Amino acid sequence: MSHRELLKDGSFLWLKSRLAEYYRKAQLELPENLSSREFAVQPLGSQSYIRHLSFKSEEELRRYITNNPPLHLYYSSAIYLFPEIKEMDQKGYLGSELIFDIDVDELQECRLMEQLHVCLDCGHSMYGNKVKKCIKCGSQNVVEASPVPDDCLKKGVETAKHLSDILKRDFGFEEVKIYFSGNRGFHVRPKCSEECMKLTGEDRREIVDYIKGIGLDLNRIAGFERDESLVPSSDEPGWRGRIGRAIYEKLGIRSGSSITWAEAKKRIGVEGVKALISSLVLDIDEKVTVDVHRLIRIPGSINGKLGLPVVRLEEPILDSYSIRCELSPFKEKVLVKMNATIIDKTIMGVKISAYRGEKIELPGCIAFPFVLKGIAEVG
Amino acid sequence: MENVLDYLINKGYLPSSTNLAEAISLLGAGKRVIEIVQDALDGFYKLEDEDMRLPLEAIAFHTAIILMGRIGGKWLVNRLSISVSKSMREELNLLSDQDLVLLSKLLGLHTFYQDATITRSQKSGPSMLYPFSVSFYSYLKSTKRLTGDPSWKLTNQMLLKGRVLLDRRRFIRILEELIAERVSSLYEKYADLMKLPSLPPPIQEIEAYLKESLANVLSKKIVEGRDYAKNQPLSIDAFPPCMKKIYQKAIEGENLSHAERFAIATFMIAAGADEEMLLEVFSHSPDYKEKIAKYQIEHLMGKRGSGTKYRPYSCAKMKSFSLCIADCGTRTPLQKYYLNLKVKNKVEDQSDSI
Repeated sequence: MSHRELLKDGSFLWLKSRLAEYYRKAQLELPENLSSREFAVQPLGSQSYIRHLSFKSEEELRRYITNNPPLHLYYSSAIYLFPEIKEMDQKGYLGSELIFDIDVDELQECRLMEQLHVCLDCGHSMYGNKVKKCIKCGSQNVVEASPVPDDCLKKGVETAKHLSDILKRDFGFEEVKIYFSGNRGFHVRPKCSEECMKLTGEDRREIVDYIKGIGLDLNRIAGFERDESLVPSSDEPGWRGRIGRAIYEKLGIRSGSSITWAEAKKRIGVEGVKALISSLVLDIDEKVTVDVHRLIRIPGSINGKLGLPVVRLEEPILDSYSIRCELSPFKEKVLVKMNATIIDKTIMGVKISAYRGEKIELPGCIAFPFVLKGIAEVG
Repeated sequence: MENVLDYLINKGYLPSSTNLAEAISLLGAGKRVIEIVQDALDGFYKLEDEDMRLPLEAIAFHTAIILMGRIGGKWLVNRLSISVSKSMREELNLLSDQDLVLLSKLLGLHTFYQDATITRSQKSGPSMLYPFSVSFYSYLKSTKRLTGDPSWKLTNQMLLKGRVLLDRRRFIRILEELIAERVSSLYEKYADLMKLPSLPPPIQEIEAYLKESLANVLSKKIVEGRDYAKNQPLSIDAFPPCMKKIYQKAIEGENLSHAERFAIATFMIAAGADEEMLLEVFSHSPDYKEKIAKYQIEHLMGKRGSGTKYRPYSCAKMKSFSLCIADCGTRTPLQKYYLNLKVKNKVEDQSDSI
């Protein structure tokens, strides 16, 4: 059964009208070389993408997306001579932006994070990590009903900031933008020069390895096994400085003083030092970075999973960022019929209490993902 | 070829509108062409750098490249490129830091020397120990073949503000790589001349002499090498497109990257190739050293080191290295190989049953 068929007519029309209205005025952050990018959309009610779209101008793109409001909207990280050609090897690849993706649920500390889920067959609601089966009726028709928890979102922000620091300090990128993907991820995008656009997949893999510390030779880089050697100073480049900063900070040693590895190991323990160094590894999705033909959500477009737009995060909002109703462009309340029972739960800052079959008014920010996922229906 | 001739004409070493054949005759460069080709095969090229002989050396060197490409393909040209870069090590070691920087710029490297913006941010050692720095873009480009050695991985470099800090020894090693790359690139530059059915005398005679004198060496390396695929138990025809391409590059003597070497070796091991087969494939590599190749293959096979047998790359991994060139619809190149084998055997069975 298609996604379109799963959505009742009233629900489909409501979602479509919300998206169409949003895209009429949406501030999309589009690249200068728009006509060299491939665009792709996942239409509302469809499970597949329409790819290899090409637009000459923002007006042309806007006409398309207001007539066919998409659930997801992307452009290619790559620029092509012929973005509209379907065969990848005939598109005339010219280069690709350097993109980093952080998925909150892939972060070490958040792999077991719990979210509210509901069963669309029996209406039961339950907390758990990536629940696949209803604990009450055994149905596999289970969907997420709440966004990622704030503490995990915070970890995501920290990782994105840390990555941005590495890109600036180590790689010398002058401008690095951080975007919330509108659901559970962060995109980190350095301003890519011509040289950067030309990095091969293999080059990008080396960059990912650097950030993730893959192949790090502690002895070569920091003299780890030579007990009489000094722990690298905090202001040194690359991994040396990163290791130094972590150890001196852990031991509360001020900048300017130094200790030997023997002393560091005595005070933190060999395993403690190793664990501290492991904690410096950043969990980024390597597939995204090394793939030069990746599609990226367009900043300003709606992420159809949660109904929130992709937004750029800047200081000082960055530190206090959390998923709240205010972030949603869908403000109007709407009368819906609930397909699940959710009692006394706070979702995106909104308290919800309703039984399956009950008709209630929901703010647009909650109604959008609920209607989309079948947790509620309009009309 | 125009560039070298133009340069020598402009400098007054050759009369105007001299062509290559005339230049060889005028300078008496034929003998030197033959020496260069033989030096390349022996793995030791020595530049004739007396001022008086430089025009002759330039003409002989470029002619040697054209003839090597015609006779032995890219493998032979790569062989020369590695030989040249190694012979330069001694010369490079004698240069001052400043001259090394100048040379690096001529080779297209974005180099900095004791750069103040980096020195100021360092209270202690590194900028003194690592006086050279290159942009990380240049570093990645010029160390592609070196990253098999973990000490060359970007992860293990001093990276600051987009620059990789290098000591003199490593900086020289990078210059050697760039020199090899520069020589290799002449293969593409002279591709048209290499395809001509015949060259004018006296180049024709030099070519005939080289073909004859190198017949033994080359027949083993190239002719047998190219036919090798047809005569072995592994079905190269059934290789998935990505592996076929890497295999072809290896057999033709191209300098494979670390990822390509790893991919083809682990794939072939998993598909049933033995050590000898792999050695044969890698023997075409311009930097081939049997002892080292044997050690590495045994390591991948799990006969050395920790005993771990390395698994071949998945399609996702191949894609991440930009080595995937077709959508086969499988999860690993090995799966595609087995599928192809099945189809191939079926077709052969059917044709047998007529």
